[in-house]
Amino acid sequence: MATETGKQRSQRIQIDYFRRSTGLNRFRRLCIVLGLLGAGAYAVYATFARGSHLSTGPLAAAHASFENDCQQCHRALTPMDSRAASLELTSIGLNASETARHIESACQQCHSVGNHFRDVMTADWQQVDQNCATCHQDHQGRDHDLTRVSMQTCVSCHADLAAGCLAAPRVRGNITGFDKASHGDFASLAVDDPGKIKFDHVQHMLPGQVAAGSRGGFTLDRLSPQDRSRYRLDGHGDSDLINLQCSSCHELAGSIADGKTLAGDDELGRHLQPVSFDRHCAACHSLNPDPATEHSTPLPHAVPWQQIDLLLAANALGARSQGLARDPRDDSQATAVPGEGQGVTAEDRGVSVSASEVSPSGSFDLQTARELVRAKCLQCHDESSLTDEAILAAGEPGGELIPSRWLTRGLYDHAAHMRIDCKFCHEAAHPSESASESTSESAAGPPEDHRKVMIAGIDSCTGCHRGEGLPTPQSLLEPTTLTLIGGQPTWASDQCMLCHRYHTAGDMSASALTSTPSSEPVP
Amino acid sequence: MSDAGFRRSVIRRRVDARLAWTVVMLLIAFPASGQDSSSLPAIDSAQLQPPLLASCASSTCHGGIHGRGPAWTHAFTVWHARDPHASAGRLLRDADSRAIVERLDPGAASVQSAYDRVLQVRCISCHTSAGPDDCRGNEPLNMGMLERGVECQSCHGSAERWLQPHLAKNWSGPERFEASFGMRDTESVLGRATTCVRCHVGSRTDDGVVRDMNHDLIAAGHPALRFDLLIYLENLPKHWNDASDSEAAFQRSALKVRQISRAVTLSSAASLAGERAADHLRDHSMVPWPELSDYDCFACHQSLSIRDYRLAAVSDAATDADEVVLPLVRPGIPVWNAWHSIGNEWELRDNATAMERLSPFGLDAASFASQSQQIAGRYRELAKDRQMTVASDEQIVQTAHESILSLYRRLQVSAPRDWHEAAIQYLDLDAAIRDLTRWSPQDESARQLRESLPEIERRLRFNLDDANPSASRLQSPARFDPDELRRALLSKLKDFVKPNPNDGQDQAHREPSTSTPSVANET
Repeated sequence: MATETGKQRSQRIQIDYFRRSTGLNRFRRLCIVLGLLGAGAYAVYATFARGSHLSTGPLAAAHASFENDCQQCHRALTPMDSRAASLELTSIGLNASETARHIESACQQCHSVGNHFRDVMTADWQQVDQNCATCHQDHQGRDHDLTRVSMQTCVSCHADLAAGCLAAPRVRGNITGFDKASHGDFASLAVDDPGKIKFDHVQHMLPGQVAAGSRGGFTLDRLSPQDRSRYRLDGHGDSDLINLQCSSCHELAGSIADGKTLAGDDELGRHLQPVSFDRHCAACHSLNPDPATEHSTPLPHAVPWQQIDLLLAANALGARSQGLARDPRDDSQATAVPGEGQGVTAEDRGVSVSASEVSPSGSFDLQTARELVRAKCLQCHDESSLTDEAILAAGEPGGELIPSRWLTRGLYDHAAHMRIDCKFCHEAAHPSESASESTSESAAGPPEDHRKVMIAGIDSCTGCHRGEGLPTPQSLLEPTTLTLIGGQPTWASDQCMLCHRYHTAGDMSASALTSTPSSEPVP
Repeated sequence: MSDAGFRRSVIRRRVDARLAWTVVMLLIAFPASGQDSSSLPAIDSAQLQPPLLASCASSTCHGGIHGRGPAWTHAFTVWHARDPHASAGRLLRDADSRAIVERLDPGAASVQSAYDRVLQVRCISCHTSAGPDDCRGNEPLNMGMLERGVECQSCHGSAERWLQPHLAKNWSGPERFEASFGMRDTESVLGRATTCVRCHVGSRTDDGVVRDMNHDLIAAGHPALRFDLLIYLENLPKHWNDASDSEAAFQRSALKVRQISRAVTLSSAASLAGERAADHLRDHSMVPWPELSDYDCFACHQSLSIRDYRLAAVSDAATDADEVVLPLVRPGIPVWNAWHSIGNEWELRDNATAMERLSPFGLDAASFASQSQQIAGRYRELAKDRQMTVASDEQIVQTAHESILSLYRRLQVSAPRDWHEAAIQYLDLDAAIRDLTRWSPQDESARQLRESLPEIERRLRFNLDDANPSASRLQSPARFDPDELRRALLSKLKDFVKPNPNDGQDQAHREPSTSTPSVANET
C-alpha cells in the first residue's frame, strides 16, 4: 500500500475541521441536555416523592416497620433480588456468593431458621438456598404474603433433585404436583408405627369396648364418680356402656372446643395433644395396687419402681391393718368349723402387721405385688419400657412412647379439618361391621394397632386438594362421603406450602434425607 | 384269728397308735426352728408372670376396684385380698409348714432343694395350681407358683379353650361346663362340691396330679380334712354375685346342700381310697396300705389316760329303744371315712359286717381297688339325684322339722357315739335351723334354737380355751364329752319339740308320738 503524502492528507482533512459541528457533536449535546433535564427532573422527584424513589414497591406488612430504613437489608453493590445468585460481575464488584451470603444474613438478623439440607446440594443450589429472595420477594405491596410460595417455585428444584443434590434423594427425586403419580404416597405410611404402646383402636371404639356379641362391656359405674361425667353421653345412665369418641383421647391443642380460642392462634390444632395415661387411660386402666379396695389410691404412672414399692407396701399393710385385706396367717372364720371353731386371727397369734412383714418370707411379698403391677404394665408396654431408665427417659423430650406426629414430612392441621369425620382418614381405627357384630377382635390375638399407621393415603387428600378449576371428583359427591366430609368445602389448594415447610429447624442432618437411591422409596 | 390273737393285735396297735400320737404331740409342741428367711431362694421374676393370671387381673377384666361395678369386675381383687386360696402357696414357706416338711424329710431342715422337693411331691398339687410336671420334683421349684397360690384356673378349669368363648354374650347355661371347653362347673351345688373335693378330700388322678393328704402328712402336723361345702363357702369372701340365680340354689335349702355335699365327699373319698389301693398294688413302696387317713383318727388317737379312753365303735347306750339298733362292734375297729360316711345313708356303725370289711384289718387292696368305684359311683348318683330334687317351701320346712325331730329321738335313746357323729348331728341341726329360719321366719322357737347353736358348737371344739384361742393347735377331741353334748342338745330341743297350743300345725310336725323323756332322767 502506497504511503499517503502530506498533500493528500491536507486535501482529505479540512484545516478547520475541529471548528465544524458534526452529527456526533450534536448527538452528544443532545445527550448532555437530556441528562441534565433528567437529573433535574429526578432531583425534583426525589425531593417531592420521599422514600420511594429507589424502591420497586411497598414492603410487605411484616417488614413495613423498616420501610424507610433500607440499610436494614440493602448495602451498596449487593443486589437482593431473586436473580442475585446469578449476577457474577466481578468487574464492577458484584460477587454472587457474597451477595447470597448477604441476603441470608440480612434475613437471619430476625428470622432464625435453618437451611434446606444445604450440605447435600451442589454449589449452585446452595446459592439458591441461601438466596431467601428466591421464594420471598418483598416490595410487592403491603398485602403481599411473603410466605406464600407457589408450587412452581418448589417444583423448579424438586422436579429433578438429582440435578442439584450430591446424593440420591431418599424419598423421591421428581415431584411435580400433588397426586399419587406426581407426588407419590406419604412416605411415613410405608413403615410401621414407631410407637411403643400396644393398643387396639377398634376395640376401644366399640360400645363398652367389647364387640356387640360379647359381654362384660365397660359401664360407667366401673369408673370413679369423678370420671363418669367425662365419658357420659347424653341420656346415658351409670349402667350404660361407655362409648368412647376419638376426642376422648385425641384432643386438639388449645381449647378450640370451647369456642373461645381463635383457630388461627399459633399452630392451634395442627398437632393433637399427646395422649396422656393420667388423662386418657387411667379412668378405666387405673393402676390399682393389690389389694385394690374402694379406698385405695391408684399407683402413679411412669415413676421409678422404688416409689411403686413404697406405695405397694403402704397399701398392703394399711389394708390389712384396716381389715380390708386378709393376713395369710389369719385363719379366723366367719362360720365356725366343727372342732376348729372360728379359728385364730393373725393378731391372736401374736402376729402384728409391721414393716418386717414386707419380705419374701413375710406375709406380704413385695416382689409378688410388684410383679402383678408389672403384669398390668405389660398389657400396654413391652419389657424394655419397664426399667427405671426407660421410665425416666420416656418423660424426656424425644422419649415419648407415642409419636406426636405420624406424617413427619408434612403438616396436617386437624383444626382446619374439624368438620370432617375422623373416619374419613382413619377408617382402620374404627370397627368394621363384622367386628362390631362378632366377637372382639382383640380377643383373637394381641392388638396390632401400635404397628400400623392408621392414616389414609394421599388419595384421601387429592379429592379436595386439587388444582384450581379442576372439577370435583365423583367420589366426593357420593352421599356417604359427603356425610363424612360434613359440609367441609370440597375444594382446597394443592400448593406445597399448605403441608410442607422449607426451612429446617437448623439442626437436621442431611443424612435424614439422602443416601439411598431415589428409585427406592424410603421414608 | 383267735380272740387272744385279736386282743394282742388290738393292744399292739393301740400302743403303736399312742406312741405315734405322743410323738406327734411332742413334735407339734417343739417344732423345729424355722429357717432364716435370708436363706430363702430368690424368686425369678419370670416365674411370677403367668399370662392368664395377668389377663384375669387386668383392671378392665376382673381386677377392678372392689366395690365398684358388678362383682365379676373385681373378682380377682377380692380373691387376691381376702381369699385364703390366694395365700395357700405362701403358707408353704411359713414356720408351721416348715415344721411339717422337716418331719416328713429331716434332710429338708438343712437342704433347701430337699425342702422344695417335698413341697413339689406332696404339697403344691393342692396349695398351688401346679400341673403334673411341676409336681414331679425333677426341676427346681417354681417359687412364683407359691406366690400365686390356688389360682383362678384351679377352680374354674384351664382357660385355654374357654377364654375366648367366655367373652361372648351367649356364654351362659350349663353348656359352658361341657368337657370340650374345660370350664369347671362352679355354679351348681354338685359342680362346686365336685370342684372343691379334688383338694379338700383328695384325688390321685384328677388333672393328672396327686392330691393325697394322707396319714403321713397328718402325722407330720397337717390338719385332717373335714370338708363341709356350706361352711367353707360361707367362710370364703364372695368374689361372685351372691344374688345370682345360681346362688339361689345354695341358699334355698341348707339341708339339701349338705346332703349333696356329703354324698360328693363320700364318693370322692371312696375314689381316693380306691386309687390308693390301685397305686399300692402297682408299687407297694409308693402308697402304704391300708391308708390310715381313711379311718376315724380318734378311734386310735386317744387320750393316754384310761379314764378318758373311748372306743368309737362301741356303744354303751341302752339298746332297748325300738327305733335305733346300735350294734356292738369289736374294739379297735375304726370307722371307715367317718367324716364322710356318718349320716350319709350309710351308717357303717349300724353294719358290723361292713365295718369289719372296711377296717384296716379286713380291707383288701385288690378287691377294694375294683369295688371302690361302685361306692363312688353310687354316691355320685345319689348326689345327682339330690340335686334334681325339687321341694316347695313348705316341704323344705317340713323336712327341717323332721330332721330335728329325728335327731331329738335319737338323742333320747343315746348320746352320739363319738365326736364325728356329734359333729355331723350338729351340722344337720344347723342346716335344719337355717332352712326353718329362712322359710318360716315367724317361727320363734326355731330362732331361739338358732341362738343356742353357738353353744353347741363350742362343745365340739378341740380347744376350749376361749381366752387363749392359740393356746393349742392340736386337733383332738380329747376333752369332748358326748353325754354333756347330748344333755345340752336335749335341753335345747326340748323347747322346740314341746307342744305349742297356739300353733296347731307346728305342733303336729314337732310333737313326737312318744312322750318326751325327762332330761334329768337321761342324765
